[in-house]
Amino acid sequence: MASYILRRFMTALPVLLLITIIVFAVMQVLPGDPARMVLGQEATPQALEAMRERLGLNRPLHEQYLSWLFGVLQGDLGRSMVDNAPVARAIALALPVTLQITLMALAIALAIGIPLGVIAATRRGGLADAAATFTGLSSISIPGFWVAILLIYAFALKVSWFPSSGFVRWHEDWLASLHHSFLPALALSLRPLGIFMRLVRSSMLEVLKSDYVRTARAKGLGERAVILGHGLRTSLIPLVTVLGVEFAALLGNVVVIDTIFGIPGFGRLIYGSVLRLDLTMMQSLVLVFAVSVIIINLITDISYSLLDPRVREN
Amino acid sequence: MSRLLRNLLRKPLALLGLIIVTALVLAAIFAESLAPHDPLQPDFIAILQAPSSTYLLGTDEIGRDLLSRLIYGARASLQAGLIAVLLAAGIGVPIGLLSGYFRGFLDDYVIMRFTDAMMAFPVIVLALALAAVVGSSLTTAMVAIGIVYVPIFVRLARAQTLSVRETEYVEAARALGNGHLAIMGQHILPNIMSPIVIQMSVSMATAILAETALSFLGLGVQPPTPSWGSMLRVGVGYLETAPWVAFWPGFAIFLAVLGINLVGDALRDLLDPRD
Repeated sequence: MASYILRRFMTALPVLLLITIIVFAVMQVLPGDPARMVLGQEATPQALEAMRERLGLNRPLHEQYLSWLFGVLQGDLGRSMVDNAPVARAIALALPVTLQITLMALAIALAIGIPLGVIAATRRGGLADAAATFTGLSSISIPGFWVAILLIYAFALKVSWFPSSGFVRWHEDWLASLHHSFLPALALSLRPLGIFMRLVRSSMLEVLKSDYVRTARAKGLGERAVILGHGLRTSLIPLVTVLGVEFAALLGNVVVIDTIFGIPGFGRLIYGSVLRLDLTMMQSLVLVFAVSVIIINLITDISYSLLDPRVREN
Repeated sequence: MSRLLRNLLRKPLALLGLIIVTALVLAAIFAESLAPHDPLQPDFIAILQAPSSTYLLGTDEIGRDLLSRLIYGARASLQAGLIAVLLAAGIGVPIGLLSGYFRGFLDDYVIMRFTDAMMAFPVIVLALALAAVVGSSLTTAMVAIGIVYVPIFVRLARAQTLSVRETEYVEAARALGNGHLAIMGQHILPNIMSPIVIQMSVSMATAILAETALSFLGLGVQPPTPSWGSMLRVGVGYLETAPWVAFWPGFAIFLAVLGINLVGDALRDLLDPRD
């Protein structure tokens, strides 16, 4: 097991390095002069030159890359070009917010998606199956930002059950925090919900055809025990891989949801940096997004190998 | 092909999907003759009107007909979905095919690791960054989405090629003295097309979602050109007084994506013999 984790870790390292190179390279080919962006259009040539010197833009590219990389490794993501605040601080503030909302979305998706998938699989071909299949496909097709707007209209404007925007941090008041994050999490949860439902349905159908399920039935186990005890356990294993992929996708979708609900998470941070052309902020955020996805994939693969020993041997 | 179509028509959900997609394509092509009003013509005495017999779905904040704008909006979204996917498959499939066919160092250590890295960037995030730098337009959005989807097709084509290159008919083609190019083009490519076509339909649905999200954020199609995403963006501001302005564009996106997914699902059932 330890050797598998080590091996998997070693394949992630070059990918991480490649990501830093891609992010750095993209920032280099960008049109525009960062020194001018910091100082504005009226800056004198002397001031521009001094700023280039200060930002290290006069040094050779590989030196710039290495010093940037070492900074990143030490948690120094540079300073915002707009307000000169440390980027790492802004990200540290946004991270718990985004984690809370995405994890809540995943929890909702699992809580509804798995039972729906089981129901569809056990009534294959019936009306319940068709209805569940259609629901699953619809929830994949529905744009999250439209759902968010409909939810605001129904539950914040028509009846005031939930706030239409804003956020309260967990440590300030956890109940209000849950209250504020419910609608955004619900809007985010629809896509993973549909994916989970479809996956559980198809892997459950596969498992119900297997020999050991037939054995369990033959030895007289009730249908309920067969499905929940034997079928469900095995069919949840493939869910682990998709969980990682969907978590990563949620990180992207957070951009729109943050904007609609006015949530101070990753999404608002990156959208704000794009609108203000805050290149350092953008560069660091894209890097943090990509690295989070790699870490999620790493965790997914390791937990998958814990659940399914066959993976380790390959 | 006709058998395929007949099978598609036998499934009610597939039929529904086919109807939606056909309607969408027709709306995009014949927008000029289908739209009851000019999508750009404001009517200042009919601002934010509720649906009526003159304006079937109501009007927007400067009195433009929502239905006409929705019909024209189909163009932007379909175009974005189609071009992004064609771009992604056009670049990704040849790379994946070559990589899987020749294997070796380049395949294992360069192309695969590079796709790993590329796939770590969330679509919207990369498209946002690109739009910020190059400027917001439908073209930027399409190209950004297309680029983000390239690794999906590289991996798929590679995996398929790996499994097909060892088959007997490829062996036979090689024994008959066919060159690499002929083997790849005539023997491998046609046999890996099914999963690629299925993936294209799935990707087209998500590409439309991505384009509308970008336009919603103001980084895709620019006003006054009608697009579902930017119409929805405007609608948010009038949610309390005129909810239909936000409702219809979102519904159009949902319907379009659902239609494409229904067709894709049916294709998967028919082309993938495993189930």
